[in-house]
Amino acid sequence: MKNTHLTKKIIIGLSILFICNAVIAKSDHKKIGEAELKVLYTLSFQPDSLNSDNIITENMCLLVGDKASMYVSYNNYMSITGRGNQPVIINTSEGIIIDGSNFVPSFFNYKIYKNYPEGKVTYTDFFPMDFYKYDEPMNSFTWEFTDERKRMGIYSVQKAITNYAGRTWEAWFTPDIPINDGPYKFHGLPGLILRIQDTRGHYVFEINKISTSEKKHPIVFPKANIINTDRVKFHTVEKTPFLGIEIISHTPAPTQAPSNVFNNSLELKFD
Amino acid sequence: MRPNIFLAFALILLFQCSLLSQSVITGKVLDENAKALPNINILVYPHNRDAMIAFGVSSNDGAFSIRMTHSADSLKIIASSMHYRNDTIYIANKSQEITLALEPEVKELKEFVLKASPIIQRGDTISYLVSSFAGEADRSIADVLERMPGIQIESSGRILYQGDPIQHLYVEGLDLMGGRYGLVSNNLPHQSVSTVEVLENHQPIRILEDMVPSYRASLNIRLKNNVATTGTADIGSGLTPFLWDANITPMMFTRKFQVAGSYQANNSGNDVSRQLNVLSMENVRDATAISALSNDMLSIPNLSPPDFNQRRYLENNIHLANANSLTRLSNDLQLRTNLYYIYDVQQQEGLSKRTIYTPTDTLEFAESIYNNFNHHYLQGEFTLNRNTKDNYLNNRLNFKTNWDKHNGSLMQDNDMLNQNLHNPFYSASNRLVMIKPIKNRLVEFTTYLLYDQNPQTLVVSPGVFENLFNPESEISEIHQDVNLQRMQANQSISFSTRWKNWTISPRLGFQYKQNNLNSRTHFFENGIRQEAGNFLNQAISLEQLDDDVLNNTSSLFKNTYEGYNTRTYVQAELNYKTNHLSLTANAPVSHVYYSIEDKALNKGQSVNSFVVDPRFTIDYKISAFWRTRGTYSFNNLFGELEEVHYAYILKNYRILHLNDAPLSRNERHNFSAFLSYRNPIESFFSSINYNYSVTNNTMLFNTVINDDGTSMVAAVEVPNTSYAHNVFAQTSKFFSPIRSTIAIQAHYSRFERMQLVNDFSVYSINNIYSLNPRLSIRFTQWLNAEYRASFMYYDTYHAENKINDMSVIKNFLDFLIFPARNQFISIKGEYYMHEDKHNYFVDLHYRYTIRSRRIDLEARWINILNNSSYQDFYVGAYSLVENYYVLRPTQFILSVKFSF
Repeated sequence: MKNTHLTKKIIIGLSILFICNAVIAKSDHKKIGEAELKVLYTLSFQPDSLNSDNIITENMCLLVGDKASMYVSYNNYMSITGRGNQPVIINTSEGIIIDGSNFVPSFFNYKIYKNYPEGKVTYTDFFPMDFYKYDEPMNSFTWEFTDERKRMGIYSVQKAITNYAGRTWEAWFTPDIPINDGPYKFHGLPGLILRIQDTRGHYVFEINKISTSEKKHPIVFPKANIINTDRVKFHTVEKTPFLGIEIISHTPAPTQAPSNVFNNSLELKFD
Repeated sequence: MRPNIFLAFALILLFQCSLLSQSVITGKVLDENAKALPNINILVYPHNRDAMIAFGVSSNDGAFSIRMTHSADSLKIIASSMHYRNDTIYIANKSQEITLALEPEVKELKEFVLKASPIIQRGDTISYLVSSFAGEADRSIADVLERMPGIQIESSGRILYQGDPIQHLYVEGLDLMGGRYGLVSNNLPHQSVSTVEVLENHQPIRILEDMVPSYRASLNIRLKNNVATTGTADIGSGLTPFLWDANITPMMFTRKFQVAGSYQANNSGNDVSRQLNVLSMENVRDATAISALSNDMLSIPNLSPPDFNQRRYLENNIHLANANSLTRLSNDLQLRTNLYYIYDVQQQEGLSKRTIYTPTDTLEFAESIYNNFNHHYLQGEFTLNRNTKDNYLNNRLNFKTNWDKHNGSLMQDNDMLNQNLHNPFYSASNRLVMIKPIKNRLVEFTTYLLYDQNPQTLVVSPGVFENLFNPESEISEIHQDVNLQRMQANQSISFSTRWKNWTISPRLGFQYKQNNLNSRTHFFENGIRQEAGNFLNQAISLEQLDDDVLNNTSSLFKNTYEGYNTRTYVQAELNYKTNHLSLTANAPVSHVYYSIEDKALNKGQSVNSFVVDPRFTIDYKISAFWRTRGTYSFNNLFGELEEVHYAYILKNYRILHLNDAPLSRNERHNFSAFLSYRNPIESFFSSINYNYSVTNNTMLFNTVINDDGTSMVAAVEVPNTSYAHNVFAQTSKFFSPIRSTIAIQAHYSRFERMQLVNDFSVYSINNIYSLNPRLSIRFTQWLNAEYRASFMYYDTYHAENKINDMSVIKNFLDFLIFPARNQFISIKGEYYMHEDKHNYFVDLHYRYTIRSRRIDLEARWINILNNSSYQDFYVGAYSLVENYYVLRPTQFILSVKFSF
């Protein structure tokens, strides 16, 4: 988020010194399945809980496979699966190429796997230079059905409510698509979640597109070197402003007010 | 909804439960062959209603069990899944067991798009219609950009798309300002823009589009009309004395031609010419390709400027004019022109004390210095660029010229010495880069050509080194003329290829360099011009002077040499990479040829050699947090052509330099080891780096120091070895309860080398110790503070004897305050302690932004304590220099920045 974003800037700085191995590249992932369905969500979130003018949007992607699913930011997915040919890093004099090709422009480097390994929801994230992960059991959401219904596009959806991570969530799901999955960690409703938001509207996930192309999209998982952590530790650290930032002696002091205040993690509390 | 409401809701439900009937529906899901089906959704609806009330999912044995509470008489049960046809049955609302049999059917999900976006996306390009996002108060395109989804603007003007900085801001596909696009986005009126295109995953070099993925976006602004004009101005004034600071930047954009200019002038210590030194990545490479030689063979000794805010000491009067234009030509060609003109007058005043430790004596000299530098500079750069799918071409032609005139006055023991230096410089260079695909591989060609000429004249009056010139009466002036002409041509070709875990990137290149040096020294005696040379031989005792040279002493001050050097090299870097291990080996093989000849002196030399400069790096990831790296390299370092000159040159009033020796050739072994521990989850980072190098040198410079502080330097062929050790360690940790980061760096260096002073050899050892703690605190969102300190200790040994030592302490305390989103205050305090001398500085900076009108008001109060001088120390192998630099008086500047 804000933090991983800052961290990236630091890597960009470092990479000029040693074209480093901190690249999240295709070779860092292994294929664990194939997706039959690609669902795109638009996530709008408010990084500063006191400033409702600043809303950031990003396209997120749910890849539903036979057994497991992967939820990842769209840009991140494009970079880890490699678009076109295998990336070739060329030492041209246009240094930008080396620099620009290595970084993933996403607020979210995390990936969420449902039912991988079986019976688990696995959360992975990347901070330079490593992947971290923790897991939670599947089907731990307790959903309350309401009788509110409406149409979203061609689908009829019903509202259900759950509590998670210190927020109350309202989900709209459609039994017409019998895939019990959704954005972020949300799952376990008898149909795809087309829209889910917390009651304060700080995080709004809304379906944008369902695509069923012939092309199978790979579901990939970081290879080796994953550091195990736990949910509480991980998300507590995520909130600290200096996460992952190593103080380098020549870092100049800012002369501008911080424009992106990030104080509004999706996960506020851990029960 | 708050939890307590939930609780109430739950209680009501619980209460109602007793009134409602609870039923459990169990059962099995089977396929047409009565085989159990897992993962089938069993949905329960009240009969005749569409809101689901409960559901279950069949387990691996096809069984399900749904417990629910509802008042309906009968229920509708639907079995639903992706691969079977839905089955609907109606049952009574009571506990019972049912069996559902499903027929296979693959559900075709339709491509589904929820709503047509007001934003149009075609492939990787997204277009925003500017008029539909513009608000009433918006003025510039930046104001409107901020409202577009996915786009954010930082207060510095930097544009982010999806949280990451954009690469380029194009106007009609042309990138006029490069990285300084803020000038365009903050000033271009939005009324002149029709659409903004976001080019996602934009690869700026089109030929690389399908080869090298890019994950960053660029923006392209499409104009509504043919012409858009705008600009910005920044005008400030202050005291004391009367100060000004102005910057006016007008701009014009059309679809085929764009231009931006600027005029900047100030006398407030702001060296705006530094804009020219900002190196982009591509320039760094050029700079390293060209020898690091400074163009100035002759100089006026100056006081090294203090290492802090320039506005405290720089006495300047600068005018800078700059014009940039970009034109779209036919055939996908773009021509960019950048012109700079600078006129700057700088003054420098201070006192310098030198202590020189010779093997026999310790000499001390003090001089007061007053220098006046006159810079006059013109630079033009013309870049032709072709960027198509199958061809990338970039040609940059650069002209530089300056007419610098410097003069300096020195006061030494009541004796006045004047120096005048005239060093015009003319240079032309051309750099061409082409990338072409050859058999699915990209091949890069690079050609670089350079010619420069640097005729310099140094006049020193009264004469120095008088006993050398053997005058009949006092010498009133000495003139040193040097004319250096250089030509250089570099060619290279390279490509990359990859096979499994291996990558190989060969490069083949040829470099040619030619130098012509002409120099002569003459002096004026009673107003009569004399060639230098008729001096008494015994005045200097340098054995390496040949007899025939001594017989023809005038040639001792006359260089006419021609030298050239070629280097042909092949280099291939080999990389092996796995998850934990990365190995890199690189062994460029070069053929090196040098030829130097001074026909007048009948001297010359040549070098002809094959050399290999291998380098190995191993990088190993021990565990998640630990990582280590080791490097070994061996380098053959040849001297530069400019180093050798067979006759004397008066480099400055106190150094007479001669290099009548074979070209230096040093061999360096370098070892380095690195270990790091990085734990981002704990915000704890530590690393240690050790570097050791051994250099076998062929040459030494003998410095003969005279009693008046002047010295003669001559190269001598004495094989010797020097050693350097470097240890650098750092650690940092963030403490979340106190919102602070504490970091400590420690550094130790040791240099051991042979020196020749007054014909004696001295083995000198320099040690440098430093410790730098740093603490940064984010008290609140609007108040940040940072404290840094630096403790340094130097000492120098000649063999076993300590000849000097020194300690320096520096302290910095900065407060950054953001009282409101449109205000910024910075207070900087600095404290320096050199030995027993103390210096304190305080600066204040305040900025107020009128956001609606895009006006910045700024106040700077620099050197509030009104320090008049600053003292600094420099340690050499056998000298210690103590400088007193006269500072600017306290100054206060108010400025306003606005756009038009």
